[in-house]
Amino acid sequence: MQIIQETPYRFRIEQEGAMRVPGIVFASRSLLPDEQGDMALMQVANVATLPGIVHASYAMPDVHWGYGFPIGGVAATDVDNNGVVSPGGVGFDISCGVRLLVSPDLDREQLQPHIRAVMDHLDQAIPRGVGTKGVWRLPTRAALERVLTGGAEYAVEVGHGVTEDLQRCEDGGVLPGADTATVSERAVERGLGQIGSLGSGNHFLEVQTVDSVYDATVATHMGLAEGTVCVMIHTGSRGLGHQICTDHVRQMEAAMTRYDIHVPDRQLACAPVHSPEGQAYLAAMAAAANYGRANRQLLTEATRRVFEAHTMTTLEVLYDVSHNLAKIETHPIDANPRTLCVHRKGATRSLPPHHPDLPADLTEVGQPVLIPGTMGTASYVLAGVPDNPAFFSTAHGAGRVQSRHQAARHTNADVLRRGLEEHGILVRGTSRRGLAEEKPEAYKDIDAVIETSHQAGLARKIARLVPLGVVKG
Amino acid sequence: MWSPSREGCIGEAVLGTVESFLDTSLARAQRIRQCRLTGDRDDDLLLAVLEEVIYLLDTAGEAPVDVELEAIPGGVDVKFAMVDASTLPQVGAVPKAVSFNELHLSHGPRG
Repeated sequence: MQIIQETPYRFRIEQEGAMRVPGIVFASRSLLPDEQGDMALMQVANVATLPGIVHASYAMPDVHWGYGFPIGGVAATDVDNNGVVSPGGVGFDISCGVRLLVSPDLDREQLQPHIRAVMDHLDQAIPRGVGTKGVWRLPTRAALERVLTGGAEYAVEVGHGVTEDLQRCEDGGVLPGADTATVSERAVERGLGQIGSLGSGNHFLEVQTVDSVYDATVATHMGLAEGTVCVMIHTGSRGLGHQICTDHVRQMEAAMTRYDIHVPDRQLACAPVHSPEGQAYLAAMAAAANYGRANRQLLTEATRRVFEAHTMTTLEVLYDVSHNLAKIETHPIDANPRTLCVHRKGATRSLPPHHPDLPADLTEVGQPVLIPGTMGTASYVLAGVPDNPAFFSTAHGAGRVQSRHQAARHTNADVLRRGLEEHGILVRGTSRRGLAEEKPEAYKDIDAVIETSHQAGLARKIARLVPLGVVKG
Repeated sequence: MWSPSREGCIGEAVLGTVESFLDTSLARAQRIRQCRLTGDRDDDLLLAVLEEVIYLLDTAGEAPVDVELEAIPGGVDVKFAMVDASTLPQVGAVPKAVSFNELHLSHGPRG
């Protein structure tokens, strides 16, 4: 593999062999994955072999090894030119994403007398971990189907939130095109009991405060100032999404030979977007995306209740955006508009100012891009920019440098928790090993990832948030 | 090498997976669940069994603390000895899916 540095924040993997386009990695020299040790760059090159891929196989600053596609991978295929869709380019946790809630009334000082009570109450109110039952338990398949087609919009319709919440969600809170006939019984069974739950691993609900503001005008427009209290929710489509990915990868593997598609890695199973398998996957993916949006809507409601009980204040949605999704979008290719299937896996959509998909009251400033940090470190709000070089995409988080096993091996969870509390961060977790696996040292430096995103022209920094309390599975 | 037989290897993989997120040291089985699973290759069979474990965890809230597998043409018959997972200490992140990366089941030089 030949890797050429083009700028301090951009590297090119030369097109060779079966690659149809080059690889482009947005990273500083220190963030660039080690070619030998971390297979992420090999995965970027493998993605470049997919039928119909255009421009390049992109990697975001937090890129690391994943299932087929690297996590932090972006690839677009031309749907009218045999372009494929690949579930590995979305991820198991379909529409995993982030929602940021902002307090219009509270700053850090005002929350301080209540923070312990708020965290203890959130510990009780936010389902997570083994045997999780969500806050919204649906009795039948028919009830779940309304969520799969209606997403957060349906949840608000039946009383779980307000219309204003939807205006600040990607796609208005519901991705069109869901078809529940493409969702297996197994996926339904796994989904019935989990809406309004956090899951485990790197999912979390954090009470945060704004620590730094980089663009005061845009930050004010978003309701952010130094000291503003926020709540960040990071979760996705839970067992249902994972099952849908599993089911459809299997179907695609069986179908690939019919389309004469050969991939260097079994986990890059794919099918043409226009094929029955491709359409079935996109319809099931939309269903899972809607589940994920409803999930974050129910967790919003549960969080609001806790804040209202202890502080007599509410929380407003700044934005809700996915970082594991494939979307059909129009982009110029050789100056002509083409319909593309844009895969963003561990990568966040990042729309520029005046993009037609933005809510009216955010059109001047661009899409809020929400990037969670690792436990105990910072998270960021950025804004989309006009000349984004990767189909309006940017990073989604900090990216692992240690596996869960490595991270857990030499870490005492109690020491970790005490260390965080000494820094004023209250932690409510379910398992000690789970906490250890999430220690900040197991991840890349979030500040470096964000700085690279900013310098590479992927998005621009608006505000930095730091945790006051963490709820983890 | 985990076991001299394919069924033994799969059994060890199941118990190892459960031990990665639950402390089963004091667990006592409460019920038995049985199923028949098929797979074209040994790797696919391993995948099918692990996926069954994840499915039962999500839908029944149970995890296996012991497992018996018997080979049949094209697959295995599986008997899981299950406990209510919420009664055991959680010690790690709960798995949600199984992927193929470096997952393989094969004969070593001694079995």
